[in-house]
Amino acid sequence: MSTSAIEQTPTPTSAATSRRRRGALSSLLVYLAPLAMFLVLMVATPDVLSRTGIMSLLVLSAVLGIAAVGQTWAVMIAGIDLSIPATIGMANVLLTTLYAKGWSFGEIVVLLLVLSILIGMANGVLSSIFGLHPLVVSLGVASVVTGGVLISVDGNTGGDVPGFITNAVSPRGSVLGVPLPAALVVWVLVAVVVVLVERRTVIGRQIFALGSNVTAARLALARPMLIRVFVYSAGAICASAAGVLLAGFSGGASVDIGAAYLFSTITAVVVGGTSLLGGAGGYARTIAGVLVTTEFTTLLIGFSVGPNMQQVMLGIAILVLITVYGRDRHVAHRL
Amino acid sequence: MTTVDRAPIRGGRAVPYFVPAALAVLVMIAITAQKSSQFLDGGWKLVLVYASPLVLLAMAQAPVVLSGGGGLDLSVGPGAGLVSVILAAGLIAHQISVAWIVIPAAVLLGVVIGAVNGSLVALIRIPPIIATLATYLVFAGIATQVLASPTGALPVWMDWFTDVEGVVPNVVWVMLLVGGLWWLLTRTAFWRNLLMVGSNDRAAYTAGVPVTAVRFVAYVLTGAMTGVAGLVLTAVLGGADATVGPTYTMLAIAAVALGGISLAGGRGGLLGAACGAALLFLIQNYLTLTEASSFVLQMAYGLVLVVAIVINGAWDRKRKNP
Repeated sequence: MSTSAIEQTPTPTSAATSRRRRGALSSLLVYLAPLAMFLVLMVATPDVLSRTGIMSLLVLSAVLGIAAVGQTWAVMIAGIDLSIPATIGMANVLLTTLYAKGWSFGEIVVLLLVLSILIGMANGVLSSIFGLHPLVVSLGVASVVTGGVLISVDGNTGGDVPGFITNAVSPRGSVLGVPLPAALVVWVLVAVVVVLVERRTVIGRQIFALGSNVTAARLALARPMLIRVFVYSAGAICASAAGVLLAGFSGGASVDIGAAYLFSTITAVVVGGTSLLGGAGGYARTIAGVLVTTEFTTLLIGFSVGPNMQQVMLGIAILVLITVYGRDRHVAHRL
Repeated sequence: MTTVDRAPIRGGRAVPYFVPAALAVLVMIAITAQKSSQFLDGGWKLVLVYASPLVLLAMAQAPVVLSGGGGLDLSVGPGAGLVSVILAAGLIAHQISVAWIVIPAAVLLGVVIGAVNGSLVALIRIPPIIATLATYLVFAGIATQVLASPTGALPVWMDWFTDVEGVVPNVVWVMLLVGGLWWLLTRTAFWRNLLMVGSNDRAAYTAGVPVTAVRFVAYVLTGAMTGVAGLVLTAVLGGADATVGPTYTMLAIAAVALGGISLAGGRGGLLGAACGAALLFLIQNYLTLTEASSFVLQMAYGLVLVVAIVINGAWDRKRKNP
C-alpha cells in the first residue's frame, strides 16, 4: 500500500523522509503532551503540586492505564474490546464477595486469572471464526460475563476488601518503605512487561503483523486466532487487575463499576495516537494518552466544571488532538 | 456495477442478505405468541411501539456502516437523546409545539448532527469510531446539561405516535415512510456509489465516485433518521430523559450486525437493520416474559447475541463460498 504510494511520487526518497519526519514529530507531540498538560495544570491549579495531589493523579492514571492495556492491543490488531468494563466489574465483585466468604487473596487471583483467560478465549476465538466483528462479539461476551457474575453471587455484590488493596490505591501508601502507592508500582511493572512484549518478543511482532494485514500475517506463519486469544486474554487479565484495584477506592463493589472504562480506555488509546486501523502505535503511547486524559479531567475539576460539561470538553479535546495528529489519509493518497 | 450487492450463487439468484434475520424475527414472533396469549391479540402493537426507537436507530446506523472505511456512528443514541431533549425542553416547553414546526425541527436537528459527524469523518478525516465517540460525549454531555431531570407535558398530537387503535400501530407508518424514502434512494446512483465506496473506497475513487461526498451524505442520512428516532423516542417516553438516549447506541450497532449488514461496509440495507432491531427487541421481550431473574436475563441475552451473530456469520461464509 505505502510502497505503491511512494512509487507514484516523483521523488520517492524525499516523500518517504518527509512522511517519516512527520511521524517522528507526531510521536514527539504525543510524548510531550502529558508534560505540557502538567505545566498547564500547575499554573491553573497550584494545589495539585502537593504530594497527595500528584500521587492521587498517578493512582487514577494507574488504574486507567492497567485497564487500557487490553484496549491498546485490541486496537493494534484492528479490533476493539468492549468487554473490558464487564471484566473489571467481574473482578471487583468476585474479589469482595469471595474475600468476605474467607477465600484467600491468592485463591481469588488464581480464579480471576482463569476466568480472564476464558473471557479472552471467547473474544479471540469468536472474533476469528467467520470473520465476526470483535465489536459485537465483545459486546455479547460482556453481557454474558456480567450476567454470569450476578447469577453466581445472586445479586449480592457487597463484601470485604483486603486492607492492602485499600492501601495500594491510597495516595499516601508506600511500598517497602518507598513512598509510592503500590498501584503505581504495579502499573510501572505492567507497563515494562507490556512494552517489552510488544517490542522484543515474537508474539509482539505478530501483533503488529496481524494488525497491518491479516493475510500477510497468516502467510508469515502467524496464527491469527492464537494471537487474538493472547491479546484478549492479556487484556482481560489487566482489566481484572484494574477491577481489583478499584475495590480499594470505594470499599463497596458493583458489576457496573467499570462502565466508565468503556470509553475512557478507547479515549486513552486514541489520544495516545494508536491508529484504530491497527498495525501501528503501542502501549507507550497509551501511557501518554492516559496521563493526558487524567490530567485534563483533573484540570476541569480544578475549574469546578460539572461532570456533564467535563464530558463535552473531553469530547472536544479528543477531536482537537486527533485533528492535530491522528487524521486518516485522503483516499487519493492511499491508492 | 448494478449487481454490486447481489453475488449470484450457482446460477440462481442469491438469497438476500436479510433473510436469516427476517426468518429469526418470524421464529421469535411464533415463540412469543406461544408464551403470551395476548401477543397476537394486539399485544404485538404495544411491543412494536416500544421497539420503534431502537428500530429507527438501527435503520439510522445502516447508511454509515454501509459506507465502509470503519464507518460507524456511536453517537446515534445520544444524538437521538439530544434531539429529544431540545424538542421537549427547548421547543415544547416554550409553547412552540405545533406539529409542522416540531417534526421538521426534529429532522433538521438530526441533519445538523449528521452534518457535524460527516464533516469530522469525511472532511477532517478523523477515524469514525473516534469522531463519533467524541460527539457521543459531547451530545450526551449537552443533553444532560440542558435537562438535568426528565420532563413530560407533550402536545396532544404526539400521542398519535404511540396510538395502537388502528390496524397497525401508527409508528409503523413512520417506519414505512422512512423505509419508502430510502427505497426511492436505492433507485438512484447514490445507492450504487454508497455500496461501491463501502466495498472498496480506493476502487470507487479510481472509478470517479466522489468518495468524500458519498460518505458525508451517508452521515447526513444517518443524522436525519436519528432525528426521526429522537422524535419517536420523545413520544414513546412521554417526554424527554437525557439518560435514555446513550443506552441505545450499542443496541443499534448489535442490531445492525444481527440484521446481516457487514460492519466492514458495502453490503446490507435498511430492511436488515430493522429486522435485526426487531429481533433484538423480541429476544429481550421474550426473556422478560419468562419471568427469569434480571441476572439470568442479562446472561441469556449475551449468549443469544453471540449465537445469533455466529450463525449469521456462518451463513454469510457459506453464501460467499458455496
